[in-house]
Amino acid sequence: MKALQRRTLLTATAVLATVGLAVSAIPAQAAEVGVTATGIKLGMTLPMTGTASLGYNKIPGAAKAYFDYLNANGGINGRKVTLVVKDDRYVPTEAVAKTNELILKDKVMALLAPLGTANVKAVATSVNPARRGVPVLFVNTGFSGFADAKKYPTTYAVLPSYIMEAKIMGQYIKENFAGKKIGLLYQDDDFGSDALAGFKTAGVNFAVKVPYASGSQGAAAAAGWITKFKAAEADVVILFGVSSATSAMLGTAAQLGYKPQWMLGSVGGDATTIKLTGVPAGVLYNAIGFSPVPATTDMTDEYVKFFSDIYAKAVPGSAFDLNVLLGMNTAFMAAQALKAAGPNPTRKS
Amino acid sequence: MQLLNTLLIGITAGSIYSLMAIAFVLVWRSTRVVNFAQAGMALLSTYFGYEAVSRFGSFWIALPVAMIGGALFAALVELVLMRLLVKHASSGPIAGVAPIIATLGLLGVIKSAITIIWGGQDQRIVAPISNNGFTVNGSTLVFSPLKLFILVVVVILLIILSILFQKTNLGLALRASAHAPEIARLSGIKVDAVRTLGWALAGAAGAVAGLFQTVNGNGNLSPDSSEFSLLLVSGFIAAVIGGLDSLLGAVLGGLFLGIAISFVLMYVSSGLFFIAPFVILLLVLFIRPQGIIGVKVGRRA
Amino acid sequence: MEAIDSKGATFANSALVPAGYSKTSHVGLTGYWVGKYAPTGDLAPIGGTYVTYTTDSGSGAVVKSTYKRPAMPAKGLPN
Repeated sequence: MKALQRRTLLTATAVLATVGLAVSAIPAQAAEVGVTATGIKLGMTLPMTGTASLGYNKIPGAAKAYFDYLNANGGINGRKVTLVVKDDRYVPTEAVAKTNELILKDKVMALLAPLGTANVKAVATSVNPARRGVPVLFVNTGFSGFADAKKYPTTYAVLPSYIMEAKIMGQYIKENFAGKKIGLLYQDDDFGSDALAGFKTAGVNFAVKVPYASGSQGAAAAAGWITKFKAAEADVVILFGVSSATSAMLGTAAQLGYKPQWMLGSVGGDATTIKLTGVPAGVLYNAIGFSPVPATTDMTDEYVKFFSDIYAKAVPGSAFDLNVLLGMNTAFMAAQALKAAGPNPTRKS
Repeated sequence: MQLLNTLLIGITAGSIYSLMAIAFVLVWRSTRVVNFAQAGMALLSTYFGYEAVSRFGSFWIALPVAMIGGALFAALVELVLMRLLVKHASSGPIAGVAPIIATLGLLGVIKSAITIIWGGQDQRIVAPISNNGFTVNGSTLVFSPLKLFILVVVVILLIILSILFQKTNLGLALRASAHAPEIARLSGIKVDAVRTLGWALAGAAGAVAGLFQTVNGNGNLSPDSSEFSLLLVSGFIAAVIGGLDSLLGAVLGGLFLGIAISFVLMYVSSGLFFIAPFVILLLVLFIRPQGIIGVKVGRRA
Repeated sequence: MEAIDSKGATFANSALVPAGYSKTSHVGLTGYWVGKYAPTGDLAPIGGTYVTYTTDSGSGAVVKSTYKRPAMPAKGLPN
């Protein structure tokens, strides 16, 4: 009797459990990972510390500043957008580990603006967000390959590609510096090879090309680079590297009294960041620069004015620079993507 | 001019590597341990220096503070960690490896501790001496008052160390403890104390190397600084090139390495930054496995 | 993601050059304006007005852009 009762109880429990499982398997409203009735969770990896973090470590604060503003004004259809930020120190293996954490542990809906060509590539191969259906929105690199929807189906570029930048630089050189000796400093990886491809298409011939290994861009190394440019008698020197490389170059050039016509790539061309490392502003004077977004000091521009006002309130005392503007612009575009994805956004929609 | 500048870049970098190599040699000679935490200790000492600069506003206080701090910390490591390890893991295959593995662990601990205390972001130390290059015949050299100062300090430290080792009783004790600890003990030398002293001297030398590496670079200091990884690798390689047992060898090894790297980066490719030191090490080991100053001058334990 | 594929190219944003999102391409912005750094160290457009150039990542030519950025949505919120 007792045994029978126990069996009935067991059966009942089993049935209940099965029903429970079945119920939970039915997609509820907003069943997408990282999306709840009240919030949407996004994740970001980038260098917050280490050599390459210079300037870029302001991006999360900038993106959060915009999301906070958005959340205070109704969010995305009532859902508040939160951003989980992880430091990868610009090391691809760490980007892989941190991205795994974001997807598996923090369960973010999408990755937002991960930074660095090598890092995004490593993540694409090792974590494979495409296979998991995880969107990688607006990667913070201009490597042309990421625009390839077949190879990286869930990855979206936002910055113009390094090839485009090199081509436009090449055009400018042809129109303004014809017959001059051109020197190029570039990073010895995909970031740099994209640049080389662009310059080749544009038909630029270099008197001297100086590659540097990512992570080696110190002032001591820059002294060697400058010695090379000097020996080749370059009239125009293009700095196509990260901010820390530009800073090391310009700072050391000031010490060595080296003054060619500088041309700065947009990646490492943010004036605020460069000046922060102690490079005198005068060194930058008359350098040629490139940007897809308005000048950060142009307060007649409605976006610049709008973003800088929000940023000044959110992060008082921090200068509004190109990294901040791009960070907020990316957050703004992500917000539109989420809004356009309908009342119950999913990774697919 | 390019040749001269390449040489100058190499000599300045090499003199700093020499200091680091000396730190390796001092520890090796006193305890037969390759101290992989040496760069971590140098980094910590540089942070001591940074703390001194931010508190007292003077680089001139930072230099002795970093040296004394580095020496005390190194002595502490030898007293607490190394001695305990030698006592507990004194036999079997582990005895030879345990201290070396322990220094690797220590490196990680130091870096984490620095992150906890000072944070992961960059700190800055600015040297009070101009790093603007000297101008000769209208062209600017990659050699500045700051770099001259670095060279002078390195040379002075080398002279002090060699006097200490060659001319004083303390130096005799240091050498005796390293080469024949049992005999040294029998003749009344406090071998343990002498070993601790060897570590302390190494700590001080490493501290100067760390501080100089920082100000000779862009002045930025962070727990993950690639400048310090480079210092560890280059200092160790310089010590090996120099035969690992000789102070003079360490100095020559450092200078040789600094100049060789500078020439490779200038005339082969600047992209070889992280590979060049290792290739140079391999070449030296193939040609002269005993190091520049090998068996002939150095003594064997 | 489908939203970006279909509407991404028209997302309002601060850039002075167009974006190129479509079903087959995830290319972002497609160009730059050229500037000079002022004595203060800040980048400003040459001649005071933004002259933008667009191109692609292939062999396409570099052309002066006629892109006119749409006005910012009200209060800077997504619409």
